[in-house]
Amino acid sequence: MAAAEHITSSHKFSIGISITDGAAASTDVEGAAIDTENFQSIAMHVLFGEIVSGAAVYIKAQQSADEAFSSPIDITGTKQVVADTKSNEAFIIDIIRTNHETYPWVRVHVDRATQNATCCCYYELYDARVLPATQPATINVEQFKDGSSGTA
Amino acid sequence: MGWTNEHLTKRVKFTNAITIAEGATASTDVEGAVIDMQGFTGVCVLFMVGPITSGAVTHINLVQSDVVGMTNPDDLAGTKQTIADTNDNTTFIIDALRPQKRFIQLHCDRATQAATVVAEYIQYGATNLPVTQSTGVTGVEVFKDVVAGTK
Repeated sequence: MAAAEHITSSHKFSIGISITDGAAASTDVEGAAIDTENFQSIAMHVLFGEIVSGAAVYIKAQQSADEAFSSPIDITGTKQVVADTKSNEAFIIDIIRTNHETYPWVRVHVDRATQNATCCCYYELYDARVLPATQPATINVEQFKDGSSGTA
Repeated sequence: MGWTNEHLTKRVKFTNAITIAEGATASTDVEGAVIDMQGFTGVCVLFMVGPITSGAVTHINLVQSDVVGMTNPDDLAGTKQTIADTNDNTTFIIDALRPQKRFIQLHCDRATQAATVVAEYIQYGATNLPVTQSTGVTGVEVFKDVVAGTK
């Protein structure tokens, strides 16, 4: 399984929840809507910072027929409860075959209540139909092979 | 790297490089966790930037070493990326295939004004599968052929 090509040539990365959007609060935060076109699968990486004792937090994945998520639908089984002892830990929802034909749009939902929690999230789309993957404008990528020591 | 029918989290290892707490608003350097590349071909560093105060001087680069203690680390040639103070809430990726030394670390240089950062390592091209996720990557749940229903 040794890779012969860069992961950023085959996977698409996108910001789900920016650091600013996920700043400390006790209110829900919706991830950006992402179109799964050209990709069979997605991993949603939710990174938590400080979670104040007593915070009631969970994450889940949702899907929609439209980008606006006018009628968001939960994806079965994806809810993960995040205990208030999980500060600075990461949670991943990894989905193969997201039912793209019916619901091309997916997003993460972070439910926060009672006390503050800090989080951010990025999406990693994989199993592309057409390669190479194209990164969004806000993702700046540099690739290196056979990295030698020298001036950075 | 086409369709695999196998979950990403079974073949790629994720490690917190700089947590939200470690990368909280400041104008001082922050060193990422040290990772061992044994058993992996490549590492992709995903570096998320939050608010950057005007005038902040920020850059990232990778360093490598033969020892886990990172004694006398070497910069990885060419990996420096300068982050402008207008790059709030953007993401920078360093994707290094076959680095020559075994231990790798992200270095984030911050000066003059504050910047908020978070980073994660994605190690790929594993020799042995399935991979075991790092401490700190707590909740990994996998799904196939999803249906709508109770979350």
